[in-house]
Amino acid sequence: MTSRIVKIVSRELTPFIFLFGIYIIIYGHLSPGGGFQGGVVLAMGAILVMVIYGGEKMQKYVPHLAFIEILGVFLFVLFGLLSISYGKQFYSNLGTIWILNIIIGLKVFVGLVILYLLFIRWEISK
Amino acid sequence: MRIEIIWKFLVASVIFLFGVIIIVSTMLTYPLTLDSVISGYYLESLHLTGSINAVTAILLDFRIYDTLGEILVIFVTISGIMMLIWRKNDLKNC
Repeated sequence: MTSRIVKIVSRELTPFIFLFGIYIIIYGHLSPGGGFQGGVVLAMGAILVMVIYGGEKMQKYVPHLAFIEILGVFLFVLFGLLSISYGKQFYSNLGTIWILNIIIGLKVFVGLVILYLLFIRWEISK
Repeated sequence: MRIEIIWKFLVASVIFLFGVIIIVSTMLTYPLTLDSVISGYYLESLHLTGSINAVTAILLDFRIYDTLGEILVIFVTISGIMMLIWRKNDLKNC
């Protein structure tokens, strides 16, 4: 259904989109960017591949992705509780901003991919 | 039909006015001006948090509960959509 040009261009472009998203997440505390923005860039790279090549084969991995989503929330709250064990207040800064950025980026990436997969599910089964 | 539309507008306007009253009364009874409290933290964000990027410093240190709320919003959204779209046998096929 999609042409050969679109397939080749998206295939060659996707690694650079992923690289840019990872760069935005990891350098979030030093340069403009952060977890949310980098996660959205990563999700757009994944959604580009799924638009061109079809997302039917990824449907069975939605529970695994949802597990990563739940794990992200758990880790984010766990880093808040970690500062209590150091004798400070809840969510006080321990120099862990970059770890929180990585957790948020992973979580937003997985969340948007799950949303896309769930919304095309009805279209596939029709 | 027409009465229902008028009734919906009435309820919406009452809720809107209630929110406006709460916001205005909060702003009027706030003891200090907002600028003098916040602006010092923007300037000192590098020393207080260790992050060069001021936006990230504010988002992940001063306003960390806001970020936690945003994460929970995405989480609840995905949970709700998964609950609405999935059928009974979908988990068994995965």
